[in-house]
Formats: sequence, structure tokens, C-alpha cells
Amino acid sequence: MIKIENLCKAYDGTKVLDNFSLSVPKGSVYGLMGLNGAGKTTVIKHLAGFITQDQGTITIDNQPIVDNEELKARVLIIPDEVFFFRGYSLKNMMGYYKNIYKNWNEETFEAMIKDFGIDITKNLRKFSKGMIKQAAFCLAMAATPDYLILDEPIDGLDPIARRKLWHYIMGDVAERQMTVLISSHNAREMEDACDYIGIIAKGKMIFEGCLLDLMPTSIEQIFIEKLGGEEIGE
Amino acid sequence: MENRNYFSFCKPLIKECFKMYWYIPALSFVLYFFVGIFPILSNLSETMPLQEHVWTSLKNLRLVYMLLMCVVPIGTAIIMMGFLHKSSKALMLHVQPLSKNRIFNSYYISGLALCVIPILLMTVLYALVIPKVETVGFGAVANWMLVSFVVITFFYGITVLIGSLTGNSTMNFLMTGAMLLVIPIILVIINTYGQTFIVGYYEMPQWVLLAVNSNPILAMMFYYEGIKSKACVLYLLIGIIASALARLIYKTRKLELIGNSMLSETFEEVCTYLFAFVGMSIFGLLTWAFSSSIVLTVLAMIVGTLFAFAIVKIIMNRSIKIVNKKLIRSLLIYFAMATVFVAVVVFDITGMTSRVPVANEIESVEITNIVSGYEETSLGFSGSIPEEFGDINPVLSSPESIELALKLHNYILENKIYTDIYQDSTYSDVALYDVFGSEAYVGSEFINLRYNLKNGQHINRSYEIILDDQVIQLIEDLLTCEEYKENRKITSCIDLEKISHIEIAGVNDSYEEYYDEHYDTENQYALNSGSMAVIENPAMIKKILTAWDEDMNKWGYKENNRSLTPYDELAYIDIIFKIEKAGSSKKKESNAEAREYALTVYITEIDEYTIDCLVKSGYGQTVGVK
Repeated sequence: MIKIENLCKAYDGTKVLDNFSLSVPKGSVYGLMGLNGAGKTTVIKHLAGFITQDQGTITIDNQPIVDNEELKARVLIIPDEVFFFRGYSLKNMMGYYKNIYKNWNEETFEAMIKDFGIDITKNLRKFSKGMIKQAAFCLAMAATPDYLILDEPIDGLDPIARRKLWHYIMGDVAERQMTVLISSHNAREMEDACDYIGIIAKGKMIFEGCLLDLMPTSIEQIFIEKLGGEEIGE
Repeated sequence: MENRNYFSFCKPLIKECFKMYWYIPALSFVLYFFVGIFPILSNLSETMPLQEHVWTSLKNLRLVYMLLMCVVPIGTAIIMMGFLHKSSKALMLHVQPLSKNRIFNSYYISGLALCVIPILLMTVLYALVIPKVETVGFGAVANWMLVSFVVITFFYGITVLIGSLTGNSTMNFLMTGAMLLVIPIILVIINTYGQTFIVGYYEMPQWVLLAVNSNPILAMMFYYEGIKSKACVLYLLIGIIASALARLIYKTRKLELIGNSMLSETFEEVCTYLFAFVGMSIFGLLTWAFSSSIVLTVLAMIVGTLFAFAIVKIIMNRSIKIVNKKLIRSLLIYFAMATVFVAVVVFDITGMTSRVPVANEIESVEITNIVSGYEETSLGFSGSIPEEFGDINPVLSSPESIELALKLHNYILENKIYTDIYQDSTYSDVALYDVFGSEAYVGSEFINLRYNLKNGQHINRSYEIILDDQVIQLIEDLLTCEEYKENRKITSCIDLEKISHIEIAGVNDSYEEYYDEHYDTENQYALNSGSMAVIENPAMIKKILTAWDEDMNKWGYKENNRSLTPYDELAYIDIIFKIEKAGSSKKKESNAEAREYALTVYITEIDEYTIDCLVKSGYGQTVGVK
């Protein structure tokens, strides 16, 4: 379970997260939604142990994440800006991931590469933004994580790649009880895939709920309602 | 759980570093090989002595070796520490199951290993080819490996530390350059000010040497000798401490600040002042060198300051719009400090140059470099030896000699008989007479005075004196006083018990012919080691050196100034000390090392006691007496 309680973070005196709380039950898919600059990436960077909070607690399976190597081996995070070693191909990166993640699954990787149609020998620098995301996703899924955290994963992906991505995520959630946290501002996609939804605005969680409880209201409606979409419409 | 192992590292990450940056050791090794090993394999001895080539290489005195030891670790550290500057790379690493310690250690070790691998390979190659080279043993190769490792660790550690403080690789590079070069440059500039503007300034005091020693490459270039073991330990410690500090900073640093400089505004301001000082000095000193006009020099200093300030601020602000209240305030602060500096150094408002201590303040006085050429001939020998073998600088502590030194110093100042920036340096020569009554003319002479005061402080002064009859008499009085005469004796200066042996070699034509017949004269070592006589008997050594001391004591400044009236040299005595060093088990190697510390005593036609002693002791042929 991913649990964030009363998280506060400020940069140069400006509050970026303000008493932010979130809870993702094991084996569920949680969609964290918000406008640009709402604080989604900051939440994910806290979950990566990259940023330390000013206040509050962040735990995964009741353990703190910062410098916790054992826990981090079970958590895979794909940031918005993906980075690979300079001059590396996906094959080279695979070699590295294989050594880093003990649960590496070669078959999954091979199958996904084939499915996405990625040339693993090509220098990753020559990949488009969408292809980079697909490559990162293949690596992440083959590492067989218990927790998958994705920052804007569908940004730059074509509809077919998106469909495949969701297919693999849902497969692992169903088969292995993988827990997924996805940040996005695409309400329609979230509605199709998530069990829970949270809306963040100006660093505060302004709405959190289970999708089943919300029916038949659509997430897009809630999103627009909570974030002032009506005013824009007027 | 949190990884608390401070020395943990990640093998896969290290492996990837080697895969990515293999070209660093490869290029480095190729250069080392072609400069160091290739000439040995291709029999360079045809063109230059092989052992000389190897010794120069193993002392790291080759320019390419020096550059490699400096550029490779700095460049590698900047590349390896990229994760300290690039946020996306840092995030990618931190989402992996790696602690901060593990990430830092892995990159640190990888970088250091990439720098050291060529050294290890070269050590193996040297060990294989060294049997081809006489006078060089495995100890020298091991020493080269250790010294190279130390210097690499030093530069690597400093660069990593600066990398942990700066926000990007460019600033890392610039600040490393500044740290390693600006401090020595500034100290050398201050020294140049002293030499140029301060009357009696004693050049190369300890703090300038300290500046030179602050960078091992500068030290090697300056002294043109290998790094001593004490300095090695110090450089290694600095490298290790800098590395440990870098890791501490990284460990405590907030990762969201990656890409931001951690250097404070005050530090940046200090850097601006240092660069402004360099700019001011370059403009000022160059103008002085070309014009000798103090007004133009001060104007050039102002222009140099403004120019340097503008450049530094443009670089720091990344904008040409630099003029604002803050800049003007900075400039005013700098000008206030610079005015004080110029007033003290250039215009001597403190009267430092005219200060002579009074006799009862002085513990002792050291007279060195007294009169160009005289000191060497008067002390009677050349070469340098470590302190453990003796002290060749005469220290005078009797009231009589202190009084004579003060008398000379006061006379120099009161009569302004020194060359300085404000007075015409033309002067007429004064005649001196040698032991045969022949005339020689002298215009100016040099003298260094070092007063060791009772309060533990020192006053150093150095003058180029314009000679007149009175000052010649004062010098004569000082150099012939009992204490000076006693102290300048070679038997007083050196520890006779530490002499291994002496070698006496004739230098007249007949002996050169002798050498031609018996030795390979193209080979310096063969000539030196093929002495006419080798004496190991301590009593005989003492007897010969005592006789030579008697010769030295016969004459004073006027007659004994051999640089002015050089007498025919008949022979020279090499004094070789006992070297007890680990790793020099091979005799040929210890001989080569011992020669570095040899003193050479010259025997001339006027050294009657020495010649007589050699003849009576059966070594007459060394000075041409059958």
C-alpha cells in the first residue's frame, strides 16, 4: 500500500504541497489528476525518494522510501523526463536493468519488445519521445515490480501504443496484484483504467474517491467541476 | 531498509561506467605508451641516454606525463560527477534500488579506476622493460606508480569536491581551474610586486614556495624534480579529505537543488575580487615593465580592474547588462582594498623597507647569496643536500658578526647603494685584486640577509648593492670575521659521519684523454663514476676536507672572489652521502640516487694545502702531480 499523510513541501518559501494525503490500496490502479503545475510530479519525486518532505510521512508497505534499497527494488518509477545512459541502445539498458533488478523477466521483455516493435539495437538517442516512453515502459514491466508509478505515461504515445500499455498494466494488476499510481491530466483515459481517482490543485488534494462510487458521473465532469472548467466554458 | 554501509558500491553501475567511458584509459594509456615505453623499445639510446629518458619519465617530469596526471583526473571527475548536475540523470539513478552512498561511491570508484588503469598497465610494462636500462630498478617503477596515483587522487578529489558545490559541468571545470591555478598565480603576482617595488624584498620566501607546492604539477615544473614522500602523503590526504567532503556534501544535499550552485553570493564575490586582482596586476605590472612610469602603472591598474570586473560579472550573470548598484558597491569595496595594497606595496607607506632590527632583538643572522659567485666559491662547493646531511647556510649568532651584518645593512640603506625602481641604475665598476694582484672590476653584488629575531619572527632582505670602497670593506669585515670563517668550513657545514665516500677526478687535458681511453665519454654516468680516486676512509676524507678548509680561510672577499678571477681548476671532489632507502637494494640504483645529493668541491691552483695533502697522501696524480 502507498500512503502519503499530510505531506508539505516548499521551494524557496513557496508551498508546492500543502497537507497533501493520498492512499493507494494494494492491487489497485490510482489516477492522480491535476492541471499543469498542480504538484503531481513533486508527489512522484517524493515517492521516488528523490525529494525529502518538509513535513508529513510517505510510506510504501509501511516503510520509508528514502535510501531504502530493498523497497526500491520492488518499486518502479517512470518519470516524465526519461533518461538513459549516453549512447546506449535498449539492449544495453536491458543488460544493466537485468543486473539491477533481481526479478527481471526476460520473456516479458522479449514479448513486449516484439509487440511494440522496438529495435533494441538502435541508439536510444535516436528514438522519438513516444518511443522513449515505450522503451522505458518495457524495461519497467520486465523488472516485475510490485509498485509501478508513472508520471504522465501516455504523453506522446499514439493510440495503439496507449492501448498496449494499458493492456500490460491491467494484466499485471490482475495476475500479480501490482499496485499502480499514474499521474495524468487525461480524464477519459483515467476513467477507463483507474479504480481510484485523486485530484490535486495548488498542492492540495481536493478530491479523492472510488470510481465505482462515483458512477454514473464521469471523471471528466468531476475534473472540470473541481478545477473551474465551468468558468472557462462560460 | 536504509543502506548504512558507507563503502557500498554497485557493481553493475561500475560495469556500465567502464563500458561507457573505456576510451579515457585507452587514450591515456596510448599517450603514456608512446611517450614512455615506445622510446625504450625503439632503442632511443642512439639519440639520448636511455637511463636519462627513463629517469625523467619515472620522476614524472615529462610534460605529457604531467598533463595526463592533471587533465585526465579533472576531465574524468567532471564526466563521472554529471549525476550531481543533471537532474534527469540524478532522478533516473535515484528511482533505482540504489542508496545515495552507493551511487556516489560507484561513480567515484569508477572514475578513479579509469584514471589509474593506465598507470597500472604502464607499471607492468616498465617492470618488463626496465631490466634493459642500467641504473634504474623496480623500486623506481613502484615509486612512479605510487606518486602518479597520489597526484591523480589529488586532482580527482579536488574536482569531485568542486563538482559537489557547483551547479553544472562548465562551472565545475572553471572553478576547478580557478582553485588549482588562481591561488598560486595570485601568490606569484604578489611576489612579483615585491620584487618590482619593494626595496630589499627577499624573493621566493616560504609562502611563495607554499603556493607552488599547493599544486603538485606546478611543484614539479618549478623544482624540476620528483615529488618527495612527505609532499606525497600531504597530496594524498588532501585528495582523500576533498573526496570525503564531496560525499558528505552530496549526502546532505537536497536533491531537488541539483543543477543549482551551492556557492554562496559571498564566495562568488570573493572570486570576483581575486580575478579583479589578477586583471589589475597583469595590466599594472606589464605597464611598469614597458614604461617604468608609476602614474601610468596606477592608471593601468584601474583599467585592468574594470576590465576584469566586467568580464567576471558578464560570465557570472550571463548577461552584458551588469551595471547596477550592486556592481558599483562591489567595485568601491575592491578599490578600497586595492588602494591599501598599492599604498603598502608600491608606495611603502608603512616604511617597511627601511626597517633594520636593533642588535638586542636579534638571535642570529644568516648571510646567503652574499655577493654573486662569492658564496659558492667561498663556501667552496656546489650542489644541494637534504638537511639530514648538514646545513650549508652559515648562521651567525655572535654579537660581533651580528654587529657587522647590521653595520653593512645600515650602510646600504643610509647611502641608498641598492638598485631600485626610482633611481638610475648606472654605476661605475670598482676594482678588486686577486691573490696574484690581478685587477678585476665589479659593479654590483647581491646579498641576502635573514634576521632570526628573539621573538621568533624573521626579517628577510635581499639587495643588489652598488659597490664602493667602503661597502667592500664592510663586506670584507663580515666575511673574514671568525664566526663566518668557522661556519663556512665544509667540515662544519656537513655531517662527516654521513659521508659514504669521496671521488676525486682531475679535469685537466691529460685526464680527459685518460677518460677518453678508458670510458665512454658520451655517457655522463661513466665519466662521473670513473673517478681517478675513490676514498672511503673517514679519516682520510676528513684530512683532505680539512686541508681544503684551510685554503678557503686564507683569503677574504677581495682575493677569494673566484667568480671574478677564476683560477684554473685542477680537480673536483664529489662528496657522496650514505643513502639508506627502502627499495634501493640494487647497488646500481642506490648509486644513482646517492648522486642526486652529492656535493662538489673544486680544487684550484691556489689551494696549496689541499694539493699538498693529496700529494702526501698518494693522490697527487688527481691534481696533475706525478
